[in-house]
Amino acid sequence: MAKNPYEVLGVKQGASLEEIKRAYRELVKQYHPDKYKDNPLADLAEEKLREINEAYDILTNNSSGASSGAYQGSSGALFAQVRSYINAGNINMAEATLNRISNRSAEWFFLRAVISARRGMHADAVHNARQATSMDPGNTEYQQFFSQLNNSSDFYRDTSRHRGYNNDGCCSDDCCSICATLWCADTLCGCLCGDCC
Amino acid sequence: MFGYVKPCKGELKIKHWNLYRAFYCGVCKALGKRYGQKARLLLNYDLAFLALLIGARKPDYIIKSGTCMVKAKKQHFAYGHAIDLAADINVLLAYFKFKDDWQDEKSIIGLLGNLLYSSGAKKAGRLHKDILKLLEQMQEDEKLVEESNCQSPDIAAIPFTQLMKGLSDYVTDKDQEYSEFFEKLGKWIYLIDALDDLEDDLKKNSYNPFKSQVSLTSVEEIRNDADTIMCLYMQDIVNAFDKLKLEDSDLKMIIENIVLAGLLEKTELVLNKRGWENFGKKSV
Repeated sequence: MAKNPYEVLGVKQGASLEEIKRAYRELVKQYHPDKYKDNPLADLAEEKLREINEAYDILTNNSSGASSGAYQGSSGALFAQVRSYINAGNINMAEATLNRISNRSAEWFFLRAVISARRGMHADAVHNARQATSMDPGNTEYQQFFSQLNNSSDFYRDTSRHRGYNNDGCCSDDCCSICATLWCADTLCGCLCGDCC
Repeated sequence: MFGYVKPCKGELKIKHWNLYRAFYCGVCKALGKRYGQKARLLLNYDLAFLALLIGARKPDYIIKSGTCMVKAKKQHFAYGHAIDLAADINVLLAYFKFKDDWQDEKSIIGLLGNLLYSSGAKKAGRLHKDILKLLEQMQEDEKLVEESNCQSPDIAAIPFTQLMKGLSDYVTDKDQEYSEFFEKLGKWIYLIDALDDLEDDLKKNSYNPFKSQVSLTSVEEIRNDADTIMCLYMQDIVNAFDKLKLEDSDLKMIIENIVLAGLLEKTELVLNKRGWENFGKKSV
């Protein structure tokens, strides 16, 4: 995430070292993992903290952005590992391994989509699957997975219809006004001629 | 985040529509009785639905005829614990929304709401301290989501779904199946609200978890993906609904209508509105 380090720490461009350190300490306190122990947003807070640490390092001219665990060369082996974790049903390990890969290729997005789908996170699954297919349009594995997602969404409309609910646009305002008009006419009829028709 | 959960009128039996109205109007009456006439302005469909859900699980409500002050006509009203609880939660939720709008966007309505309903919210907060805590936690968590510009709609939905789960635990005394239902419904509500607000949020440069999609794909693709996503969540809601043990068969039918037709109708309304033509890869 190539964000402006000054923005991340919330300090002005010419801020002194003391101001930067103070801002850093405040933010670390705010996003400290201990605060998020039982909070499902823990991952998000962790990412924010990583961003904060990176920004602090840049502004205090410490390490030159040495990324953690970016094994570019062996990303192929890591992708294979992610797949075997998924097949074994170990989604947590699959996700942890995937996060270590910094090579955000089509395969990365595809595996991200599969993991999201397993967790029932449909929005992420769909978005990542689409991203994978657009980065590698010829790949039938990614295409099939994306089609599968789209097909399973038809399931809901079928369920609705199967259980007696008409969803072919009957629930539109026009239909309602037609229904209401007919109902009114019928009621009026009932009032006038005693509902014998 | 209000007014999305309602029945598909055209698919309801008239007796069920009348029962639904009795609950909706019942919450209105309860708001007026417990928080003063001005609180009736806060009434919305989602809280009527909450009353329905609570009532369906433990039908200890009664239906009485009375007069509607606003429409000056005789009709039926539902009374009971479910309705009172929905009114209390209504006030708290509305107050927090006003507070949010005032703090984030400096909206005048937000300020007015803040002033008008702060005493009501205090009273409701005293009655339901646990809900107050849930709302405060949600506000804090949503701040994190917005500040990190989270573009994962599923993660962005977490604070709201946590609120819904907490609400469920509170009103059903930790019924697991209800918790699952509330969670899936909460996901749907958060996402449909985000999709509904996308056009405005792009214009005002406000936070929205779907924003990144606009620069990545075409409008047609965003809409198709949104339809897929919402349908997948609605199926989750149906699955969770089928596991609920609902004692009141009439209320159960109304809830079924909402789950199998009402939510779909709303989804199609949001995804087919005119604003979608205004944004996509080419514009912005």
